[in-house]
Amino acid sequence: MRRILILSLLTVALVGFARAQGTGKGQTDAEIEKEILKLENERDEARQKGDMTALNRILADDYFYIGVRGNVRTKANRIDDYEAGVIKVYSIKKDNFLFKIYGDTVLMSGRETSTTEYHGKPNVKPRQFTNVYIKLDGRWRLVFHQATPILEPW
Amino acid sequence: MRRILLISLLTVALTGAARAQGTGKSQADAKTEEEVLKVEHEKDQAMQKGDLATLTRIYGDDLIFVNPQGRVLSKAQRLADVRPGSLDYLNFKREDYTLHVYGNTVVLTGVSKSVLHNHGKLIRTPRQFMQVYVKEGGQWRMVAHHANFVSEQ
Repeated sequence: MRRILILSLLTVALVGFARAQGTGKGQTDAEIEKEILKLENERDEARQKGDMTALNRILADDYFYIGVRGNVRTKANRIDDYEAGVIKVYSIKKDNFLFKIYGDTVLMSGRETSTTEYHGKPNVKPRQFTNVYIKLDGRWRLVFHQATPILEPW
Repeated sequence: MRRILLISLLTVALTGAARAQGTGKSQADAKTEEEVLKVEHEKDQAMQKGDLATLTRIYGDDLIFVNPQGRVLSKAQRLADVRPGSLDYLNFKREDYTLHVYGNTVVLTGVSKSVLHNHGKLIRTPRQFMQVYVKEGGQWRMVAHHANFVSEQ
């Protein structure tokens, strides 16, 4: 009986270890894309509502982003900006999504034409963004975001 | 004896799981950073020389490349862009690297202060860039690049 218990514990531990090292297997790429899109929609809703609880859940602890002016900001900076009311998100529109899946890493690219305001400066220009989602402790979290204004080709 | 062996195996498995879930910088992460920076420098050399064979090896087949104009390029489009005559470096300078390691994925950021001619246009404005490296078949490959012009805050 004791032997069975120990073997069961060992199996559970090894399965946990394998999952921690996981490659996202068990889900199809279509299922992963659907899950990421759902999370992205939740993040966008949170941006509009200023829902810090949801943002804290979705953004990884070491999340950072590169803004349209090429500035590097952390999760704490982002949350502070929302709490201070210096970011305002009036509407969100995203399209032209492109997903690339590498096990527990998802690259999401797309175009955003949202209407936002940062420190009183409106931003309505289309921008191209890249998001990096990674599965951490069994949950997809956004670890990085970058957005670039779309300029006329030269 | 058998019991001790099973308990030892259990301990090893649990320790491994805890490490894999951990976020602290380990020796393995430091080694990963070193490996990725080496590939990054090889890529930089190849860009300056227009060495398409090396770039073909380092760029992932499904590369997403977002240039500072916000244009999305595939691997083939990027390789066409790097050819001498399209992209010519007058000097090459990259700095302020940071690396975030997530197992077999690394997010690398830095600033490019290179001066270059891009399709005949002189580019002097610094660019803040991000690159994602993924280990595929034992090789680190760059699967994403995104750059922004740095403007006054």
